[in-house]
Amino acid sequence: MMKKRLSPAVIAISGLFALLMLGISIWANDYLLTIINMSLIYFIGALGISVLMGMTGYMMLGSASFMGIGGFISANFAVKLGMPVWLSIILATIATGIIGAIIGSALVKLNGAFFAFASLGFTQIVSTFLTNYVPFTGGADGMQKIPTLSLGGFKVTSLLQWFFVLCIIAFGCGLLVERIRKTQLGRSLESIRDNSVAAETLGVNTYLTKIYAFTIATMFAALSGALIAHHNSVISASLFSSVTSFRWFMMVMCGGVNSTLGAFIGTVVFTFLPEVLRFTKLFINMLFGVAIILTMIYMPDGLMGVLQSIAARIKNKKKERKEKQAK
Amino acid sequence: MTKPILKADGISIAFGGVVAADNVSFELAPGEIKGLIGPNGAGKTTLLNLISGIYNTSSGSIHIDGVDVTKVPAYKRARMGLARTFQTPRFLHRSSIINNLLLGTDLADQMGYINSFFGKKGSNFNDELEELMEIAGFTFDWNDSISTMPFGQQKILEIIRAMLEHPKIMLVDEPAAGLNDIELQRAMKLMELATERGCGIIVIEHRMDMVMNFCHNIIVLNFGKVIANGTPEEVQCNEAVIEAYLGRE
Repeated sequence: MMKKRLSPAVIAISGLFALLMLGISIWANDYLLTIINMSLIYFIGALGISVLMGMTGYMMLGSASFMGIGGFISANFAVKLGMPVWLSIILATIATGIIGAIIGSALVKLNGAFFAFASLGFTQIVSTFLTNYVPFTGGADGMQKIPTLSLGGFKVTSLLQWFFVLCIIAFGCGLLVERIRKTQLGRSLESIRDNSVAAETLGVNTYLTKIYAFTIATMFAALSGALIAHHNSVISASLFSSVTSFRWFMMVMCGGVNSTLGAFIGTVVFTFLPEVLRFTKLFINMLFGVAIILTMIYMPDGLMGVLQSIAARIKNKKKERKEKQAK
Repeated sequence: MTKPILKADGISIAFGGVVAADNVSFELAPGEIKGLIGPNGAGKTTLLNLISGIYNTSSGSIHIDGVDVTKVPAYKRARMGLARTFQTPRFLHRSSIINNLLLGTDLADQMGYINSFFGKKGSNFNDELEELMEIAGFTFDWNDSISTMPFGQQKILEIIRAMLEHPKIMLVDEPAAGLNDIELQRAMKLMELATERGCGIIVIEHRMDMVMNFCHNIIVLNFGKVIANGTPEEVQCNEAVIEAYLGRE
C-alpha cells in the first residue's frame, strides 16, 4: 500500500498543466500574462492559508499584512542595501516568519471567531503602519523602481520569464505543502482541527504546533508579497489592506479549503473573474458576495470538494461493476 | 509485587461544589488489567482525564513509571507511554483510516516533524497493523474515509491506535458500549495482547459480566470516592458496593 505509483489522475493533471504552460508561452499577451502571474503569486500565499485554515482549522484574516511586511522588507533590502534580489526575497520570507512566530504565539491562544477577529485587527494595524511609516514604505506613494529577480547572471525581465519562474516556485511550494499534509506535521495539525483534546492525548504539543502552522502561513504570505514587489517593480501599502485578506480568504474557501489543488483553482478563478466581469463594474463585489454564500451552502468543501465527490462516485461505480463481473 | 507503572496518590478535583474525585489512590502494575466501575456520575471518566492530564489535580500526585507527572501537560504524559481511548471515539473524522492510525505510530516513533518531513523511516507500521487488524477481524480498505466505519468498529480501531503507540499504560473508556458480543471478544483479545507486552490497562466498563471475568482488580467509585478496591470476588461481596448499586433497603 505504501508503493509509490502515479495514479492516472495525477498524470492527467500534470499533462494538462504542461499543455496549458505551452499554450500560455505561445499565445498569451502581456495583459493575460500579468493576470496569470498574479494568480500564481496569490496561489503561493493561498497555500499558507490552506495550511492554517484547512489543516489546522484557524480562520486566517491577517495574510495581507504579512504579505505587506514581506514585500516591503524585500523591497527595502534590494533597493536600499543593494542586496541581490533572490537573497532579499529569502531573507524577507525568513524575517517575516520570525515576526509571524512572535505574533502567532499570542494569536493561536485564541479560538474560532476570536482568532479570526484578532488576525483581522492585526491587518488593520499593519495596514495603517505601512501607509504612514514613510522611511520604510514610502508612505502613500509606495516604493518604485524595485529591481527584478536575477539568478546567476540571468535576469528575469519579461512577463513570460516571470511566468516560468513563478511556475517553478509555485510548484515547489505546492509540493512542500503536500509533503506536510502527508507527514507527521500534517496529521498533527489535522488532529488539532478535529479534536484538540484528543490531539494532546496523542502526544501533540498543540500550542507549539499551532505556532508552526501560523509561521508557515505567514512565510508563504511573505514570499508572495516579496514576489509581487519584484514582479511589479512597484509596491504600495494600499494593496495590503483587509480587502486583500478577505479576497484571499474567499479564494481558498471557494476553491477548497483543505486541498492544494483547491487553493489553485480558487486563486485562478478569483483573479480571472474580476477581469471577465469587468463590465459589471461596481456590482462585482455583490456578485462575489452571492458566490460566497452559494458556495458555503451548496459546496462547503469548495470547488475541489465537488470534484472529489464526483471522483468518488466514479470510483464507486467502477467497484460495483467489478463486483458484478466477479459474480 | 513488581514496581507499579502508574501510581495515584490522594488525587482530588472539584467542579464548583461537585467533588468529582476525592482523595483517590491506587497503583497499577505492568500487565495488570484494572476495572473501574461505579454508578453514573461517580467520576470514572474524570479520573481518567486526571490521569491523562486533560484536567489538573487540585491535590495529590500522579507518578508514571516512578516519575512525578502531576504538573506535566497531557502531551508529555502521552509521550511517556500513556495512551487512552474515549467514550465516543475521537478521530480525524474527515481523514482516511490509515491517517488516523498513523497518528498512533507518530507517537510511538517520536521522530519529530522535521525528520518525518524528510522521510525518515519509523517503526514497522504495516506488519504491526496487519497483526492487530487480524485479531480485530477487520478487512476494510485502509484508504477509506473513517466516517464510513460503524461506531462499534471505530471503538475497536481506537484501541488499535492506542496499541500502535506502544504504550506502558492504556486508559480505555467503555470499550463495550455499542459493541456486539463478537466485537467485544475481539476488543478483549486486543487488550490481552497489550498486557502480554507489559502494558497496564485501566478500563471503565458497565457490563459486569465482562468486568468480573476480564479484570484482575477492580476499583469501585461512588461520588468521587473509592468505596472498594480489590479482586472481582472481593468487590462483589463488598457491602458498600452492593449498597451503591442497589440502594439501601
